[in-house]
Amino acid sequence: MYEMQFVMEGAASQPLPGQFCTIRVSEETSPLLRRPFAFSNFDFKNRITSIIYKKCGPATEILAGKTSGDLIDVIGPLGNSFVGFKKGKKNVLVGGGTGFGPIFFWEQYLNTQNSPTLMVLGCRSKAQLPANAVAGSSGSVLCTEDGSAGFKGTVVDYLFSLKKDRLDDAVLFCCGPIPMLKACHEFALENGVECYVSIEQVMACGVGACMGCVIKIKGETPYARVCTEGPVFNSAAILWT
Amino acid sequence: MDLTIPIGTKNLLNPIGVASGTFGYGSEYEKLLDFSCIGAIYTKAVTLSPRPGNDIPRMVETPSGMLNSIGLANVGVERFIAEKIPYLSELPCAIIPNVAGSTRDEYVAVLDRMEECPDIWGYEINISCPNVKHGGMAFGTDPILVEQLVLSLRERTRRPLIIKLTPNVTDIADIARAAESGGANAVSCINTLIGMVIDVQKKCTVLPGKTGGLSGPAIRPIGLAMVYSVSRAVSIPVIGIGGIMCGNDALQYLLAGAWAIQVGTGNFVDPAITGKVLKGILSFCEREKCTCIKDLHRFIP
Repeated sequence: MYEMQFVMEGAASQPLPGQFCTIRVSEETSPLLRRPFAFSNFDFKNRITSIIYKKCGPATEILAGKTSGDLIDVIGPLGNSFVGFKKGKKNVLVGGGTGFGPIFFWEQYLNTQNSPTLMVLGCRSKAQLPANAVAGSSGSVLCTEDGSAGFKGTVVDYLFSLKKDRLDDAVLFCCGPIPMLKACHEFALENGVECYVSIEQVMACGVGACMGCVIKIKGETPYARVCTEGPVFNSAAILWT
Repeated sequence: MDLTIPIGTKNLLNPIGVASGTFGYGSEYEKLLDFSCIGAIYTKAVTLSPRPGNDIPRMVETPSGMLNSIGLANVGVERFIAEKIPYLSELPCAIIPNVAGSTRDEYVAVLDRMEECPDIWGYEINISCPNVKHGGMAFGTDPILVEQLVLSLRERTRRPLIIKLTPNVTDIADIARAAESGGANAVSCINTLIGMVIDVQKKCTVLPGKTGGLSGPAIRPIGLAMVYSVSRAVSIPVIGIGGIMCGNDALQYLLAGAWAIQVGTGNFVDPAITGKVLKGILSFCEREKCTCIKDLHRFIP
């Protein structure tokens, strides 16, 4: 897991939790397209923001090789954010895999609003948890599938282990792999709580022009652009397959 | 230097265009570039009725390129006129809707409706989309159908008609000649090439429709060879498209015989690319003492 911090200079507006940027990792033609990354925090005073990512292909390989002081081509903030959606009496923030970034950022934001949060972070084993998650803030729960740290099981197993009354007026905010998001949605349905998910999708333009990053939604218009109508959606609006 | 490009009875202010499907309806890029660098915006394809587009995933990156199967997702002609034209008409660029259809009547109906809009500069007729079952490329691969379609559209408009050609044919020059005989004012080439990507682990194609349209720098040498061939087969202007990422790439097309160019996939990589392409063309032409784009055509026989 890598974290990259960068300064947003000049007129760039401040990112909100859930929003993302696109990065052109090199001037070469392969890898060609910009890659989307969700913001994982924002330091208002110094205008420093960051992204968290895994090395999972040539583009992230190049990004991981950047050193302090390198200039990078970033467009953002893009997309909607968690901020516009209804908050609960209790906000349950669920992050898995590379979905930790926006969840950390959202927790940081909610803490400044004194809005109560429970952060649930999960991955296969302790080694995959980001260092700052292991250090842990008091309101967070770690879940590992192999039991090497914290709760043994998935984030959804943990949610099911919660007593019903802890979910009164709760709202779920989730970011992670699609199967995790779908399971969170099903959990929310079963427990009658609202659930908002931040979707990761392959993108070309990132600004709403190409119609390449769509997901299936319910209703009259069968598709929504993740880059523009999202990346945060009410899980009940998505046509889960 | 005179940058204007004559097409039919009109002039484009400069040779730079943004290719249909890569620039939405313009407003998406509002904060990211200076529109005065762009001579023409070729809009997302417009069909008679709205189209939701193809199943997902719709795109995948390939070596120096990308494969897409969007399926002409668009808002339809009525919403295009009501919601998109007001914004577009405020821009300093020529607005050239890309018109698509499944039948001759559909192309005609879209064009007729657009004729009522004073802010449209001309039309790019899409007879080359590889990602729809009916129409699109089926028109563009048959010279007789192309000539008939262009004739029908020619009768209905005095605005410039640009025919967008598919490279997925045996001889693109034949199709270009048919478009010229029908009364086209220019041809743009090339649209995407049919391509496929297979996910070996899942043992299936990445795109649900199996194939998609390949674009980006990977197709530039093909586009260039086709522009070279077409520009020698017809006397109407040729607009070069395919993998343009910088001034030098655009100059290859102009030297090959194109009068203007369109940047497509490059807009995704760098939304401000068109300004850089224009600057590259200008500095080369100044150095070579060219007084207009046509001057570049004398170098390569």
